[in-house]
Order: sequence, then C-alpha cells, then structure tokens
Amino acid sequence: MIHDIFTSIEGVGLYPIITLILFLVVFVAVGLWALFANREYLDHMKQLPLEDSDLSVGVGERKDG
Amino acid sequence: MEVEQFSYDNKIVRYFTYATALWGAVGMLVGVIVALQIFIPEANFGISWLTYGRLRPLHTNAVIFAFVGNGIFAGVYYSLQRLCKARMWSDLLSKLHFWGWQLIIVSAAITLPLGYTTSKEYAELEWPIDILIALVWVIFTVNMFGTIFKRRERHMYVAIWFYIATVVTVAMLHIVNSIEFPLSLMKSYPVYAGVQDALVQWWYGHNAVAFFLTTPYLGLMYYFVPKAANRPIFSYRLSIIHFWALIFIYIWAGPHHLLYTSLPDWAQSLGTVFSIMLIAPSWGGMINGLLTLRGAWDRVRTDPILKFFVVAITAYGMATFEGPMLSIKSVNAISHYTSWTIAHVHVGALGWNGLLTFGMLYWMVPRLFKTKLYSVKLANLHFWISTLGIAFYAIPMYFAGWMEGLLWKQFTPEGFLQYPNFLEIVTQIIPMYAIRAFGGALYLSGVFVMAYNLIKTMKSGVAEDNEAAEAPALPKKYHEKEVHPYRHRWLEAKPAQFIVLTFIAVAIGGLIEFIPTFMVKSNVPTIASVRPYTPLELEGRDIYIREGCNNCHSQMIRPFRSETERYGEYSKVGEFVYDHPFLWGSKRTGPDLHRIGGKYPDAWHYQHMEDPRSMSPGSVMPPYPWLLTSKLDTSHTRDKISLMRSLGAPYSDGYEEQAMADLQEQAEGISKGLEEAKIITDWDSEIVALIAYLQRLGTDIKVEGAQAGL
Repeated sequence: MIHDIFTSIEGVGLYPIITLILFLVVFVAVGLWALFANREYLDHMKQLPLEDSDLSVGVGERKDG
Repeated sequence: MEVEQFSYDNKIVRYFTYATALWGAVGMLVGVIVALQIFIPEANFGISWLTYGRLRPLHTNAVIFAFVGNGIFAGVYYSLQRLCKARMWSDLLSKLHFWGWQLIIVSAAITLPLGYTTSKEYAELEWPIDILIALVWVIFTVNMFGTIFKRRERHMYVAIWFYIATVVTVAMLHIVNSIEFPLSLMKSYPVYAGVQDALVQWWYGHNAVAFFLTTPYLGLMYYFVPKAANRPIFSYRLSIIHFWALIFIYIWAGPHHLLYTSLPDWAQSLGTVFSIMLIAPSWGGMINGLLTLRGAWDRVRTDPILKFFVVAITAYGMATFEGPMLSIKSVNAISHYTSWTIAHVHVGALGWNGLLTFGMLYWMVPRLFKTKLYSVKLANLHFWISTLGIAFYAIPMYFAGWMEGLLWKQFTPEGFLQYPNFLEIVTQIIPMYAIRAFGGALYLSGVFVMAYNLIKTMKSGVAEDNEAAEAPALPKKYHEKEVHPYRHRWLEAKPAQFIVLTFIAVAIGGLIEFIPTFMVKSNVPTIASVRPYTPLELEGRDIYIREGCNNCHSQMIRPFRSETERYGEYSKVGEFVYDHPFLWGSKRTGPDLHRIGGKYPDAWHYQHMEDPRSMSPGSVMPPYPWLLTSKLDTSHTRDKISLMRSLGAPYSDGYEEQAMADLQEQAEGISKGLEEAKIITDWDSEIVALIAYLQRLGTDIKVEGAQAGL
C-alpha cells in the first residue's frame, strides 16, 4: 500500500538517486580532502590547542591532596 | 607583525562551571527520585507535581539542557577564546547568554512539575519558553560567530567545526520541532499530527542526542584531551573525515526510533541504514580520542583527569556501537519500549557526557583559579564511584530490558501468551529497578565529592576574571601564498562558507525524510471511520498529556503476534490523523494503551485512577486521587475546537456553539454510568474527561461503516 502511495508522487524515483549521488559526492570529496591535506597544515592544526598550555598549574603536583 | 594585547574572559567560564556542577547535582537528584518512584510509587508523597509522569521530563531536561548544556557553554567559552586567540566578541552577550539560559532552566523546573508540557520528549517546554530558548540560542550564536570572525588565528581548529555544527543544527531542530499553535499562555498544539509529528519529533529527538550531547562534546574532546595529555590529537586527517561524515550521516538516522511503528517502511529502512553507517565516523572519533594518549598511557594510572577522559571516550564507543545495533529491526523488536533503551542512553549520558564533563571541570577549575587541584585522591575516588555507579545503573537495566523484551513475547507451547498479565513481568524486574536506583545514587554521591573538591580548590586560589594574553593581529588582506601555503584555507579560513556548508550538510538528511512524508499528507491511508475527538475527549487527552501518562504508556501497537494478542489490532497510520501531538510514547513501564478503549468498564478506570492497586494488585502506577476531585477546566474548550479545525480536524462550522452542550451530555452519560456502579462523581470532574478519552482510544477502527466527521 505504501508503495502505491509513493508511486503517486510525481518523479518520486528521483529521490533515491539524488540521495545516493549526494552521499557519494560528499564522501569522496571529504575523503580526498583528508587524503591530500598538506602535512604542514595538519601539523599546524594539531598544535593549536597546545599553544597556550600552562602546565605549571593543575593536577598531580599538590602534596597535601 | 604587530603583537596585540588582549584578555580572555574567564569570569563567564567560571559562571558556567558553577552552573554545570549545580544543575548536574539537581538533575541527577531528580533522576534518583524518579528511579525510586518507578518501583515505590508512594515516593511522590501523593503530591501531583511530584509524580513520575511530571518529574521524568524534568530529569531529562535538567540533565540534558542544564547539566550538559552549561557544560558545553563552559567548555566552549574556555576553548573558543583560546583557539581563536581572541576574547569573546561581546561580554554583554556572554552575560545575557548565561542568565538567559539559567532563566530557561528555572522556568522548566517550575512549569514541568505543574504539568505544563507539550509531551514531546526533550522538547516538553511550552511555547513561551521555546521562544526564550530560540532567543538565547541566537545570542550564543552571534557571540560565537562574532568571536570567530575577529579571531587572531587564521585557521579554525576542528573543535570549532563541531561547535559551529552544534549551534547551526540545534537552531534548525528546535525551530522545526517547535512549530506549534498557542491556545493560551501555557498550552499549545503542534501543527503536525500523528505520523508526521512522530517523524519530526524523532528527527529532533535523535538529533538532540547528536548535536547537543555528541557534537559539542566531541569538540570539547578534541580540545581538552590533547590539553590533558599534553600531546596533539592522534590524527588530524581522521578528524576531518570524522566531522563531515558524522554530521552528514547523523541527521538521517532519526526514524530508527520508530521501527515497526506506523511510520512508512522506506523511512524506517533509511533510519536503519544510516544508523549502521554511523558506526564508522563514531568509532573514528573514539579511536582518534583514545590514540591521542599513545605514549602517555602510564599517566592514565596517576592522572584522574585522563581516567575520566578514557572511560568517557570508551563509553562513547560502546554507546555508538550499541545504537546502530538497536537500530536493526530484529534487535529493535525486542529492545524497543524496554529498559534496554534506558541502559543505552545512560551509558551515553553518565559515561560519555558525565565523565567528560567531570574531567573537564577538574582540568579547568584549578586553571581558572591559578592553583592546583585540592585533592587528587578525592578526584580518583570520584572516578571510581562514578564508574561503579554506571555499572550498577546499566547492568541491571540491560537485564531488565532483555527480560521485558523476551517475556512480553513469550508464548506457551499451546500458543498462548505465557505472561498475559503485563504486571507479572513488571513485578519480576522490580529488584533491577532497585539496584539501578542504587547505581544512580552512587553516581550522584560522586558529584558531591567533586563539588567539595572543587570548592576547596577554588578557596585555595584566586579567580582571575580577565586572563592577559597576546597574539599577532591577523592581516586583513589574505594573500594566499604569502600568508599560508596550506590547502583548504578556502573553507576553514572562511567561517561564513563553512557555516553555510555545515547547514547544507545537516539540512539535506532532514529534507529527504520530510518531503515525501509531507507530500503524502493527502494520501495517508485515511480510515473513513476515524473521527476527530469529541470536546470531552479533547479535554481528557490534555489531562493525559498534563499528567505525563505517555512517559510510561505507549499508544502504538507493533505488528507482532505477541502484541496483537496482548493489546489487540496493531496501530494503523490513519488512526492518528487528528493526534496533535502524537502520543506514541517510547517506553512501556506500563502496558500499551492504544486499544484500551472499551476494554474495561468506566468504573474500573475510576477505581484504578483512585488507587491502581485496588484493580491491579502489585501495580507500580501511582494513584491520581486529584483527578477525582478537580473540576474540569472548560474555559478553552471552544478555542480548542477552533484551533483543531484550523489544524485540519473536520468539525462543522459553528460547532463551537454546540461543543459545551455535547461535552456536558457525554460527561453526564459517563457520570450516570458510574452511579450505577455505586460511584458518585460530578460530571464536570477531570476523571470523567480522562475516562472519556481512554474509552475512545483505538476504538475508531471498530466502528463499521461510520462516516468521517461529526
């Protein structure tokens, strides 16, 4: 019954095709991006959270704990 | 290059930190209370606003939006400023954000126990609060994008990508799911009905998990785990794939909450397929987080922060493996409506969100107060208490869930249900409920240990409202080759494009699910005998919503023999066309009610509401004596008819004039019937309206040859 309802929508066959294409395009694009990313850029990005590290405070050194 | 002096706003981070700890304790305390009430109904002290049906939404909202929400904001305000090398764009907006969010939480804590609820899970708050949420979210968004636009670091670290995805998607989800028609100041009805309402709600509900409990926390993981381990993230390449794959796939998976319901099959399959695909990016993220500790594992032994992070990320891995498994139809057939789901979400909430938050607080608070943590021992104790608490919570709930799922379906060799009385199964899992409450209490006690430790830490240090920092200004003009030779700057160096692409990625999944479902609106198999509710039934339905009955009772019989035997004919999509909102529920602490209509006499319902145990010995349902004495509020009945007509219910023109007379006539009929059973009740008491609604449920398809409309 559900099948009949959907075939009554004009051009409903396009939906799965659009979905599949979108999906493939997004994944191939992201995959290529990651694969060909510049090493220098990746290293720069990796270091960003560590740039303001202040290791003099925080856990692990207080004696009376 | 000129070096600029500026400062980070630590005060706002501190405020959100306090709020996180405070609301965490409150939300979990309510959790422990409802965990007790589920097997000791007397634990509501006979007070209507302390009943399970009203407190359960308070618990979920408090934990998600108050505890995790404030946790997100604390972590984002801390990390965003530092990753952007810039102070938050506007101190005023930061303050408005903080106080606005706390106002929302307080409003929720007042209105939910009073019974003001839309009944839609994790979106229970009524329309004025919905508008406030939207406003505060806009404030947060503007402040965040303002900070990103005036940043001093050209590139946006992956944590910021996750933050952007969060603000964009949550705004979209909240607005689409909250489209409702106000009836009065504290009551509204969603524009969607039945199956469409269900699809929108679970698109929202699922993605609230995705974009409120997951993506912002992944952003926090990408910032705080490298910080705590003092080493960069394992693979930045992996984080790129993790981000785009996750946000793109997540949004499609919502229909897995509606497997075997009346939702069209294609949408169910879509939900299943995308849920299974989700394992890949989720585990990519988990691996990226855990492998960041490569070479630092020895420190996990001594550093409680790393312990919290490791178990949090492991819990994320477990929950994101289990989620796709639960989305497989044959598994879902057993797991859905049972405590299995409760175990699953608590591995996520207590493990992933809770422990990551605790680790983050232990890391941030000493730094915000320029001191060291008061006690590492206590932090280690907290770690063990909370980990044990999770085990004591989850294991009995898994066991209870499997028992429910299997015993509901158990047939005797002769082909009869082995446990035809639902209560027989409920009473068997009461010991598991008790152990779960203990596990929850254990976890909560850990929060108090943390609070003590953090307060002591704060007292030993000095809070610095503005932390001085310096960084070179970002050149206004962006010369591609001179400044940065990297690829992909076109995207990450330009936040506006990034935001648009993120929005497209998350909007596509929703659109592809919604468009066909809304296009078939006129074609949904309409059952001729399905009529709109009578005025009295409409009022009764609103009492059902006010009392939160849907928190324990589903109204959706799945097409299994075990369910049709127990409850009756399975639920059809066409039966819900006048249900604003849908009330399918997601948990069967008690039995399904879709075919309750006509099953018992009115007198049974009356006595059952007065004292459930008088009709069902051993029942864990709380009594609702106030329904017997409260007068039915009919001041909005006419407006409800008009509103329902404008939403598509075929009440004839001018029926409003007739509505009150019809209501009284139907109510007097019920009241007279009760009199014959020696029950004296006023026709205008709330119980009468509720009985009218319950007796109507699921009966439409039994009416042969009746015509639609009144």
